[in-house]
Order: sequence, then C-alpha cells, then structure tokens
Amino acid sequence: MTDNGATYSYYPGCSLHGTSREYDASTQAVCAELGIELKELSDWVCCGASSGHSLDETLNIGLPAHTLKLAEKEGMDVAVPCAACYNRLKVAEHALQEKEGVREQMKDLLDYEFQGTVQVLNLVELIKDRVGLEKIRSKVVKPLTGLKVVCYYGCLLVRPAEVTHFDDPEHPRSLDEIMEAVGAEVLNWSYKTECCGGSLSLTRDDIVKGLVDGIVDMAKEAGAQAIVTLCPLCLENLEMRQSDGTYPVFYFTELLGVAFGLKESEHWLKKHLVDSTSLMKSLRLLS
Amino acid sequence: MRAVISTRQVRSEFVARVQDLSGQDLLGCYQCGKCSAGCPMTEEMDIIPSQVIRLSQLGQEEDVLNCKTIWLCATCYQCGTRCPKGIDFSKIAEALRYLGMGKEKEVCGPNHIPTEIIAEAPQQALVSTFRKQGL
Repeated sequence: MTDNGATYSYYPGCSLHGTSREYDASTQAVCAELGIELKELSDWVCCGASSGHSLDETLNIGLPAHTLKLAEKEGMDVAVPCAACYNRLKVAEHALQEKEGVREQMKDLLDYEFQGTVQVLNLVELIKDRVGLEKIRSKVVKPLTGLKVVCYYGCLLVRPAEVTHFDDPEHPRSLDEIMEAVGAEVLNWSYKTECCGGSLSLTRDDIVKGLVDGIVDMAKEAGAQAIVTLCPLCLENLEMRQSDGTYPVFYFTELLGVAFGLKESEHWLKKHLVDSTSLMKSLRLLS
Repeated sequence: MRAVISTRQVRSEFVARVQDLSGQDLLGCYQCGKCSAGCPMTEEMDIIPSQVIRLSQLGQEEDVLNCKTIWLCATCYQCGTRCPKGIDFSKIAEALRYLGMGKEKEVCGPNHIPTEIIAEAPQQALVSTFRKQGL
C-alpha cells in the first residue's frame, strides 16, 4: 500500500474517545492534511490494555484479536495512535503468527481464521514511513522555529522489541525525525524510553512523582522547553504527576497541526492539564 | 531468610505454571542481574527482579507471591529488552500477579485508591492503573 491518498483503518481505542480527544482530533486533522483517509473500524472493542489482559489468559489475546479480525475484514492496514493499544494488538498478532494453539483457540472463540493480511501500524510509523518526511516538509507553512523539544517514546511502543519491531528499542529516532521535519529543534537525551510509571500513577503516586520528575528534569537538563510524545497514558501521567506543574507536554500530532497552519490547533492545546499555549504564543507559533 | 529447597519444590507445579503462564524460560536465567540493573522500580522493591526469578526457579511460591515486587513492576519491559537470555521479567511478574490475585495478595491495586481520588482522576489514569493491576 502506498502513501498518497491512501485509506487506512483507524483504531482510536478508549483514550482517544475520552481523555485524549485532542489526540484524536489532531490525528484526524493532520492525516487529512497529509492525504490519508482514516476509516474508523466499526464495532471495535477494548484492546485489553485495561484489566482484561491481566485477569484472563483468553481475553488477553481474544480482545485485540477481535479488532484484528475486523481489520482483516476491511482489508486495510490499521493505524493505532495509542501506544498501549498498539502494544496489545501487536502482542495478539505475534501470538497468532507464532502459535498454532492460539490460532485454534481464536477460531473457536471468535470464528476468526487468522490470515495476517493487514499490518498494525503505530501513527508514528504511518506518518514517517508511509507518508514520508518529504511530504511532511511540503505541508509546513509555519516552521516550529525556536521550539526546543525532546521526544519521549515511553515503553509500550518500543518494547518488547521482538513483538513491536518499532525502530530501535534503546535509541529510537522516528519521532525525532518527524519533529525535525517540521522545524523544531530536537535535542538528544537519555530518557527517550524511560518508564514514566503510568500504571502506578494512582496507586503509588509517591513513586511515580519521582519517575516523572526524573524525566522532566532530564528534559530541562537537555535544554528542552517541552516534551513531545505519542502515548496518551504517558502524556496524562507526565502532566498530572510533575512537581513543576508548568512544564508542557505535547502530542506530536498537535505540533504537526501548528506547523501545518491548522486553525483548530489552539483549541486542542486548551485541553491540557498543564498550560501549553503560553510557550507557543511566546514563540509566536500561535497568535 | 531460611528456605527449604527440595526436588519436590523445584519440580513443583508452581514452577511449570509460571513458565506456562509467562511464556518465559524461567530456568534459563543465570542471574546476571541486568533486569534488576535496568529496572526503574528497584529502589522501591523488597526483593529485586533477579531475586524473584531465582526464588521462582527454586519453587519458593510463598516468598514470591508475598513480595511487593510483583505489584510494583510497572510492566515497562526494560528488563526483557536487556536480558541476554531473552527472558522478560515483566511477563513473569504478570504471571505471579495472576497466581497471587486469587489469594488476595494484592498490595497496590485499584481497590486501595480512595473514592475521592477515583471521582477526580482522569479516566486515562484509571485505564493505566487497570492495565497492569487488573482487579
């Protein structure tokens, strides 16, 4: 499948329909601008990243396998913005590819004959590898000049590497390259794939504050004004648990929207827990 | 800590069940400690990941199901990425949580979150919590 004018199945997951609506809106707007049509899978269910996978061995694969079944029926590669959803879908895909027992089990459970005909793509893969940096550059009307950022990939996109096969598990570059293409100054740092402790954010906030502060401190140390990420679980946790309380965290799609001159961008940024518009205004990237 | 190590324990159903549930070659671990070195949570843990693996290999069911470590694992998969034997401790911890859950051993699951926090917490924080502490 090629890039220009391509249509992909779209799996938003619960985050993008709930707390991270700004990620959904910016994803749809940016993809439309890049000539990608996203067709939301009809009747999609939870990916199982919630309690499903730890409670029940069958649901662990069964829930994401249901979505893979829907995607295969549509016959198009499926775009997944949330790192947790992406991880679950890749785990199911991997198990279906590797284990005959799992294929048999899913045949009984879901009436699903795994074909392996569609690819599960994280949004970063879709935008960088299918659309390409050249096309991204061609859409920039307001380069993010003066904006210094670090890119934060988190855990679930890059690991386990044998399952997600995303970039390099210790030193990924894909998102850095996308942000460079829209004119941001992307700084190197050592916390790209450090864990933010999102899963313990409510139960052990005492530990998680330390992990989040470590990430924010390291971003500042690198000279960045903000963190750019792609995971709704990370973004919420980084905003909610930082001691600073003023350090902005962006979805990469929001910043692409600003660079592409999409007027809805300002609206997306207002949904954040930490003020992210002041920085953009001080750099005259938003009026 | 005194421990009884016998063939009965090492060959117990527990060891086989952990291997089966986690899909990891538990007995393949040779205790290099890279999992513990890369883990962001070790300073909070009562025993470190490589020790949980060693105790599990020796069938010390009670020790590993009672430790805090399996509940503090954030399932970030850093350990598995760095393991020279390709063993993912996150998956072993998940299997142990699964085995421990029925025994009400959980120490920091969602049941411990005060209701006023639940009322105000962003939905995503709850999803994040349930992701690993499914109770």
